[in-house]
Amino acid sequence: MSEDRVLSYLSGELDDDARRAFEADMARDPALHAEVEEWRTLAQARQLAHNEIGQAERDSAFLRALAERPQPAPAAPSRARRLWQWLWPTPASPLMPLGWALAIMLSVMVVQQAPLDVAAPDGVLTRGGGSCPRLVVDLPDALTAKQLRNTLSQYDVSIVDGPDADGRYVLSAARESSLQDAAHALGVLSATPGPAGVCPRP
Amino acid sequence: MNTLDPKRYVINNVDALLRIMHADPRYALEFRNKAEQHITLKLRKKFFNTSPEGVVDAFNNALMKFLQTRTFKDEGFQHGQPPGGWAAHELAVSKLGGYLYRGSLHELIQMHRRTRHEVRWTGPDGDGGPDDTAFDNAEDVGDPSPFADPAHAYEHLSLVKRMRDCLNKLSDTLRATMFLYLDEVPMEQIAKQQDLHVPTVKSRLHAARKLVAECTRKGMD
Repeated sequence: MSEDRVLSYLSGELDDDARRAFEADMARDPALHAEVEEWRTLAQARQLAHNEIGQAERDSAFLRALAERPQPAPAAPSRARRLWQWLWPTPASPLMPLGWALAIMLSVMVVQQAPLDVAAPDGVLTRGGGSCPRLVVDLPDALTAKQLRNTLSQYDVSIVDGPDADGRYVLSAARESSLQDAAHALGVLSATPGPAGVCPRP
Repeated sequence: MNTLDPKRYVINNVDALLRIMHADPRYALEFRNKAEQHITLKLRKKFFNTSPEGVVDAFNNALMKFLQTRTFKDEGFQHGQPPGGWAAHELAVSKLGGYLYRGSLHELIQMHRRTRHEVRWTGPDGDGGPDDTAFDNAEDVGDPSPFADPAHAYEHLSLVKRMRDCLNKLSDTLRATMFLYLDEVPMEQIAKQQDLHVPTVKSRLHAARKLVAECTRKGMD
């Protein structure tokens, strides 16, 4: 009878009162407790036998799920890497090296040919990177502003400095001869060559 | 290096674990199989009255959910990790094993709620309280059972394996009755299926249990 109660208890066939009474008996009776434990171990043995069925399929499903798992997002490429990818996108065209070589060559040519406009400390821009002759002159008092403007414009000469303490001006032009011709036309009282300096803005 | 030494990996988070298992399928399967064995036996100890299929399904559902959600905490990997890293079988009975056990338990409870009332067992492994509360305590992902003790686990597993062999040695008649009972088939249904009376079914079950017990003891001596 006790054995039947064990089976009924384990299969959940006892009502609540009978189950509580059985559990109380089990707490008092080590042999009854051991019998129940033995049945539980038998259930584990049955489970172990069952686990061997279809294990290969479950292994395969697990490996498939591992392969399909969402991959973690790759780390963002560094700035240098992004620049490199912009310059040299992959897959690269076979003509890419030729294109870059041509671009570099053209860039060098443009740089060499372009006028170099560099702002001088005194705000005068130079042209072509060279220096222009200068002439320090003493202008006649009778010279009008209009005559001065016309003559300078005619010979492409500029006043780059002056008047100094002695009332002299510094003229500059791209060519020495322009300076001499302009000085003659203006009727300067004195003309002294000055140190060459940055060329005036046209 | 001893070639029998298990392969070890330092694992500090779920992503690292998944990367390693993806790169080393042997390690992955060793982990899975050990976890399946450990957890299904533990569940079966707790829930006598359930089907072996249900227990295996519960474990595999929990494992797949773990792969999808990857919600296990990093600290769980770091806790108790040997200096050389985790071997697959150690990982299966570590806190990760405990986490998977709780997931499997949850799955099994949900399955049973859909079908029938289950006898709750409160042995040394039992929670005592309602099973659902096991999931309210997110901190406790460890494995509190005697299975966590490697020596005890080995000894118990040897006993279970011996018992399994002895079950297979039963006569066809007794084995069939025993398997039906252990596979959650109601007594009346077993009787009907085998064209017997219920008391006869019970007698067979007791006879079978005694034979298996005797066989197991002989094997263990």
